[in-house]
Amino acid sequence: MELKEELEYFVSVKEDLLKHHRNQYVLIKGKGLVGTYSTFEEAFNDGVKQLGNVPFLVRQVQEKDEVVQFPALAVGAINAHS
Amino acid sequence: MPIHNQLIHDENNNLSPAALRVVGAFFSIEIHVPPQIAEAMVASGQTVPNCSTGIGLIDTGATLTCIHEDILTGLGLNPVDVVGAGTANGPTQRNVYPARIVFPTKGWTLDLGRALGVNLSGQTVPGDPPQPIIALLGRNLLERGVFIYNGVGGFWTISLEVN
Repeated sequence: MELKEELEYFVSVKEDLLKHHRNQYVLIKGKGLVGTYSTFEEAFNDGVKQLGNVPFLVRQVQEKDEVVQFPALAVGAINAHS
Repeated sequence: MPIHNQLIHDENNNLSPAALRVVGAFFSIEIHVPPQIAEAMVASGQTVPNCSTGIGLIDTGATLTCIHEDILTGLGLNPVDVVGAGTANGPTQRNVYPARIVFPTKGWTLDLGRALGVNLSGQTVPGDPPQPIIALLGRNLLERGVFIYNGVGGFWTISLEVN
């Protein structure tokens, strides 16, 4: 899975992020917090500017992770890579 | 916001609710490298890959727009997140990518920070010849405008806030 290190780091610091950066967007590379931002676009643009075209995590700091629904995937009408 | 009306006709050139039911609401689209990434590629001496073309099918059931993952990786894009998605085989983790979608027949350009990489191999819109579906245009695209599906009339309308 891509971004494994970044996701592990996010989970490890999530409680602290919720206290200080709730609803903001965090930019994480490896096991490091690069910055916090008001919008996804700001975080993404700064990620590309600072890190280049490499994998990095941009995620909004929320109690519950975003839930995504894809009925076409869920019923098998469309396949997801395993 | 610009508006697009799509009338679906049968072989006698009458508006056809039945034909609309068969093909759905779709657009010819191009998937491009987002400009920020293209700039970074050029700065590092890389060539920016050409866009991929195909059909984008409007899917009001999809939270995020889904794009054929081989296209996204073929454009040299990297994931910016991973999310859980329900599938016929149970929950799975899917990569989320940034992407630029262009509607060439309308001259519209729309940047999506988050599009889900999925496998759309073999998915087509009926026609002669069938056209490959490369994206399901979901609610993170539709939240930028108004979409009206007139099943009784055999037409649909979309208006989007584009770049």
